[in-house]
Amino acid sequence: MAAEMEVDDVDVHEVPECIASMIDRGSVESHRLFLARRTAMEMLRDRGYSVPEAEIARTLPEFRAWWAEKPGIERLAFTTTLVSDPSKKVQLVFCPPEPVKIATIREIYLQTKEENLSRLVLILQSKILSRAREAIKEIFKFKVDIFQATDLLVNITKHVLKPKHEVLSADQKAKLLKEYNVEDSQLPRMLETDAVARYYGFDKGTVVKVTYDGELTGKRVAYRCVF
Amino acid sequence: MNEAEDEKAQVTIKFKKNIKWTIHYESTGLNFEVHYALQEQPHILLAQIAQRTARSVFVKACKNIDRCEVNKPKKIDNNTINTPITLQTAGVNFEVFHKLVDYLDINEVRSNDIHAMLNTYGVEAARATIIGEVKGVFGAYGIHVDMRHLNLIADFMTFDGGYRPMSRLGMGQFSTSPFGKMTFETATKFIVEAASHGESDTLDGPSASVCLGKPVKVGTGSFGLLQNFSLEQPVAM
Repeated sequence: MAAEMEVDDVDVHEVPECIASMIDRGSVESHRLFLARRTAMEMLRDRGYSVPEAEIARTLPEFRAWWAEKPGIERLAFTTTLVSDPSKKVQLVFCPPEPVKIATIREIYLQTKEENLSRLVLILQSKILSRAREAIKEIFKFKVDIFQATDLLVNITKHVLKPKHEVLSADQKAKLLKEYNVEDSQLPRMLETDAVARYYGFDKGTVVKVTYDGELTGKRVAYRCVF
Repeated sequence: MNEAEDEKAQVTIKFKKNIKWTIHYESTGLNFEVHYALQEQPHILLAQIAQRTARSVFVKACKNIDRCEVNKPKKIDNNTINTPITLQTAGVNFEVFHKLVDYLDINEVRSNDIHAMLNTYGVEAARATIIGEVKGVFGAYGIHVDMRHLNLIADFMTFDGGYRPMSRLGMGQFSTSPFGKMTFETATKFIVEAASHGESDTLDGPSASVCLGKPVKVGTGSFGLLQNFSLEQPVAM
C-alpha cells in the first residue's frame, strides 16, 4: 500500500496556483495609498532629504496592519529635513478623496503654518479645482509640488529608458556656459512640467547633466536647462 | 410523401417538443459553475457550448486597450531563447499597467507612442523611444545606421523639451532662416510668411548662402584673407 502511495505521489503533477490566489484581497484604496506613499518617500530621498529606510522598505501587509489601527489620511503625512541643510524642511501631505477646494488648502495651510517649511508636497486622490490651484500660489510663500496619487503608483526614475540626471551647481553651470560660449536659453530644454523634472523638483533655470549609458542611446553626456 | 416518412417526421417533431432543460450558474469571486439540467435529451457536446460561450462573455476591459497578446520565448532548434514572457497590447494606457505593478515589470514597459512616453516618463525616455523606433525601422531591412545620426535626429526632435516633427512643420516653427526653410519644401508658403512678417536672414546657414550664390561659411569659406597693399620701398643700390 505504501509503495502504491509513493508511485501515486510521483505521478501526480503539481497543480499550478489558481489565478484567484494571485488577486489582492485587501482594499484597493490601501494598496493605492501604500504605493503612492512609498514612491513619494523615494522621491524625497532622491531630492536629498533624509528618509528612514524603514519607511521605504515597509511591505504592503505591514502598511495595511499599521493603517488598520487608525485609518486617517492625516496619518500619512511625513515631515523631514534636507541632509545638506537641516534648516530646510519639507512636508508630505495626502489630501482627502474628495475634490480639493480652497477650504481644503486653507486647512492644510493652518496645519503647516507652525512647521516653518521650505517646501510642501501635496498628493491628491481626486481633481483639484482651478481656484484652489490659484489659492496655493497666493497662500503659500514657498514652492508647492502637486501630484496625483495615480502618478505615484510607480517610480518613473527606475525605468530602463531613463538616463542618469545630475543637477549642476551655480559654479558648474557658469563654467559650462563659458566653456561652450552659450547662454542657458541655447541649451537643450527640459520643461518644468516634465515628469522627471517634477519628480526631482527642478526649478526654472536649473541645468541638468544627463549621462546616457544604454544600448539604445550609446555612451555620451548632454545638458538640459529647465524652462 | 409515403406513410413511413410521414410517421418519422411526426416522431421527430414530437421529440423536439418534449426536450426539457434548464441552465443556471453559480459564481463566487473568480470561480463560476454552469449547471445544465437535462431530461430526455440526446448526447450533446458541452465543450463546444463552453467554448462558444467563453468567446462571447465579457470579462474586463481597459480604456484605450483593444487587444492584449502574450509573447512567449521563441524556440530555435529546440533551444529556448532566453527572453521573458511579454504582453503586447493594441493601444496605450500606462495607468492600467501601473495598477498591475505587483504582476508586471513596470520598469521595462516600452511603447511606440512617443507622446505617451513623453507625458509619463519624460523627455529623455521619449528621446530613447525615438532612437529605438528609427533603429527598428532600418533594422527590419538589415540596415545599420551609426548611432550619431540617430542621436542627432532624436536631439533635434526633443530639443525644446517636447516632441516636434522632423519635417517642414517642425522646421517652420523653430528655424530662424527664411531662405533655409524655402530651400527645403513649400518655398511659396515660407517666402510669403517671411515677407508678411518682415523676417530677415543673416545667411549663416549653408542652404541660405547657396541660395544667393554666396560662399558657404564652412571650411575654407569660414575665414577671409587680408592683403597688405603698402608697397615696400625699393632698396637703394
